[in-house]
Amino acid sequence: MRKMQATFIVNGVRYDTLVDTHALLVEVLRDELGYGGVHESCGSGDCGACTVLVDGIPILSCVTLAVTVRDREITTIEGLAKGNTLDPLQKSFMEKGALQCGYCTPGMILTAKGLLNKNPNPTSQEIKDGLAGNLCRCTGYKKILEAVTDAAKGGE
Amino acid sequence: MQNELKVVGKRFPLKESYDKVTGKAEYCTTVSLPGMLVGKVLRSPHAHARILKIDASKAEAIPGVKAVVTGKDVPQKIFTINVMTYQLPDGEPQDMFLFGDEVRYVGEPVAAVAAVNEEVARAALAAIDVAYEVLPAVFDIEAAVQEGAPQVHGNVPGNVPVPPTPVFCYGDAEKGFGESDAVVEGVYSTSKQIQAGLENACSVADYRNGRLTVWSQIQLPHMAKRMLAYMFDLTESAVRVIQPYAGCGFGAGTDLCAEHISAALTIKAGAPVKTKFYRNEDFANRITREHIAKIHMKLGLKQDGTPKALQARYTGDAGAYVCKMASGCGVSLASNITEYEFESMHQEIEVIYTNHLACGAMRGFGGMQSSFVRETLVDEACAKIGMDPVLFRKKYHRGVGGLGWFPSTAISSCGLDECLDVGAEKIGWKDKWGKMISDGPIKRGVGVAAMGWLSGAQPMLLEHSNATLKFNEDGGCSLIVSPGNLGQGIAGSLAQIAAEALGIDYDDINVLLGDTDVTGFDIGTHASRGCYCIGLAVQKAAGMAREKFLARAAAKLEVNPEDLEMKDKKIFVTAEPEKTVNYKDIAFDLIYNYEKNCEQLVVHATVEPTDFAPPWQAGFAEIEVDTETGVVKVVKWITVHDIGKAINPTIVEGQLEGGTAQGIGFALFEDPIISPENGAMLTDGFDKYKIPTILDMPEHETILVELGDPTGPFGAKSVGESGLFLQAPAIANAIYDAVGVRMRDVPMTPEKVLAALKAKTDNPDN
Repeated sequence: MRKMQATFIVNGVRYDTLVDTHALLVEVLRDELGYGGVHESCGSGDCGACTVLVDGIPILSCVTLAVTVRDREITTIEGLAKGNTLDPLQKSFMEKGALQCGYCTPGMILTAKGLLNKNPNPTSQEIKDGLAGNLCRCTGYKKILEAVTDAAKGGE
Repeated sequence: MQNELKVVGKRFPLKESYDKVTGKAEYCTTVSLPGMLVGKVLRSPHAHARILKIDASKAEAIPGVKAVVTGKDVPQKIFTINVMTYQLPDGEPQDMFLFGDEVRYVGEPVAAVAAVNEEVARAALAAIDVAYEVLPAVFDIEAAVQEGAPQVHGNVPGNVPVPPTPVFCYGDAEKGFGESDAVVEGVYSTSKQIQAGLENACSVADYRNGRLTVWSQIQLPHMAKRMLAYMFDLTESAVRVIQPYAGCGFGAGTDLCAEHISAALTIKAGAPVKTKFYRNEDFANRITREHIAKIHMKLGLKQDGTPKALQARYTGDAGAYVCKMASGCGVSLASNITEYEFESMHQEIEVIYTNHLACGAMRGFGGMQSSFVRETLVDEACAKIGMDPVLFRKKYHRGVGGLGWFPSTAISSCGLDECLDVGAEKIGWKDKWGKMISDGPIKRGVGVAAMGWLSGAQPMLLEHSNATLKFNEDGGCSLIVSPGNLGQGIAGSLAQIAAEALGIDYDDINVLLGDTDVTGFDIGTHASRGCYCIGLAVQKAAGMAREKFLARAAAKLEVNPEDLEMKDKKIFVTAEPEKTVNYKDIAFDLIYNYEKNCEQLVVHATVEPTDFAPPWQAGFAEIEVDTETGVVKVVKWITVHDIGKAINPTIVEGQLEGGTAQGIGFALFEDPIISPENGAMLTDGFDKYKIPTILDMPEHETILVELGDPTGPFGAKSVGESGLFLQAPAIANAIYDAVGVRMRDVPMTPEKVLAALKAKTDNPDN
């Protein structure tokens, strides 16, 4: 088992680590660095639950080798709020009731964040296309669509 | 009264939503304890085999392996993972052994290991030698009952744990059919739908100093505690079940998944153990929807629609163990009783063993199968007598005082007429039904279906719920209850009921749940019971607390308690409203009374509800059928739900909208494929078992009808399971409207639709 020195920048904090070269990003974030908001479900890139942002772009941490994103800016759900001030997406997910069990929520919010980073005023269809890789078993997606639409409007 | 409601009926965010949007919410999969080991399960590769020998010595010798458990390490007691068994005096059938000497489906646990990390645990699994004597197996309910079929359980000859048994029959169905003008019948099949919550099955267990603590996704924590105590020869008081937030549910949490395995491992290893299933293990080994594999139903109507007779048989493919198969079939036929005023009914259930994965419960337990079959057959009967199916439903559904879902029950409220009227208007029924003609390959149709369900399984099951309120010095309080913790919004809804009843604010109430050491007994979350049944306990507890506040205020104001009112955090003399004392001051005085009159106010209420308060619903689908590909596209879906009173409309809508997604999946494409060779679940990932994505959702709308129920807390009835009953029948009826074929199997995949279209072309008279 090979290990290597790697620096991860997570939510603005630098971590100098010695990691297995074959470790997945989800494992490093969750098990080594303690970011419990990174949720793994399928382990094969089918559900989107483990999504995190790398340099503002959503990626699937369950199918990403950790060392491939060393020295990059990683954002997990824990890094989205500024202190006690929630991101507009977090606020709108709460207010619109866009979550139930909440297991898909971190990945869903971060995917939406990535979408809004790229396209601050998406159409309804663009939001749907952007979230198509994130499965939710609870909500039927209606309130998720409303929440993202609402957060995008607030950001105008 | 309803105009005055200040908290009930308002759209508050879920109590847990802050934790969930910030990543702070703890789930079983995120629980981390010092020294925690990784548990893994060794599973049978055979559908049926006797275990001759297990040699774990090589596994145990691997550095980092802390425990290997086999049948020798756990008491060999007959049990069931179906902890709901304790809700019936004689229980549901128990037919399992943990790591027993015979395996009966591919994937059955044979042994388990606990190791310092995942890699070591996997190496240990690979190092366990198991000698099997492979036995013949059977994978089909028809084959299983043939003479000479392989025997799944040696002590149940013929593989029939429940032979055809008539249940809740009334009237003379044969006579009813004789007097009918139209008789329709069909044989239907429904799927073993997978709950497919996003969080994989997982549990953590920690045995120390004689006590077993288990972190579980269970929906019935107190009964899980009892089963674990029984299985491991512990007292109930030596077992504690903690429920972090569960990222899965929909009935999956009514059975143990990995709790007993983690428990066996921690007891041997002496360290905490987390056992988390991989996604393929979750899909292939966590027990699924009750699989009512075959339903034969016959209906008879008079020419004017009068429902004369209903006859049905529900045959359950239990798989290797009975679990909830008998109760699933029973609930299915019972829910047929609620809907229409049939003059006679003869219904039977039957359960057959096969070497499939057993089935448990999924949201809409039994009702999915009854609504799909009954509602499509009603549509067929209406076509035969030339009656508008919306009109039939309005005319012949049962109403207040009518027979409920169980003998001796009566319907307490019914808003189905309103549901049907509103939905028909919204979908444009009058202009569209039977009228959307097209020459091209794409045909359009509309369909309707209706149902009445229940708010808790009264009076069939033990229905014991509790609520405790503990007050702080500022008048805020802890509400201690024990539902499942699935994200269904129950904590907030119960807080709204308590706040309303006490005249305080939503934020004044902190809800504590999820720890059997703290909470009073509850049968938990299932059968759409949480808000209604536990809500009644909360309302009762709040009433008792109110009495206490009034008594203390009466002493201060030197009046009688009955002269007082409590509202908006003030207690005042009804006749002299200026004579008042603050609610908060009384709360403070209870804790900080310097005249030796302190009292920590803790009130506790037990309820055993007796009514079943049926919610009603109409569902309308507008669809397109591509006659060249067989693809059915839902263009629009409307749910109109009689909720009685929505404690929190956002939560109620959320339940229904989520149900719509699961119902469309059930109807059209969620297709569990089971190997005919070895009975294994082949659709063991989200790449193979497709649940709806945001792009699969049609335009859909949820409308609530709120007429109040006289028995419910603030008039509320249930919604938890109601969202997904009607998509399959309404879509099937819409397919008939569009292309004139009757679909009798779900999911209604393009292959099946094409086959039905071809059969119609080949044989136009059928």
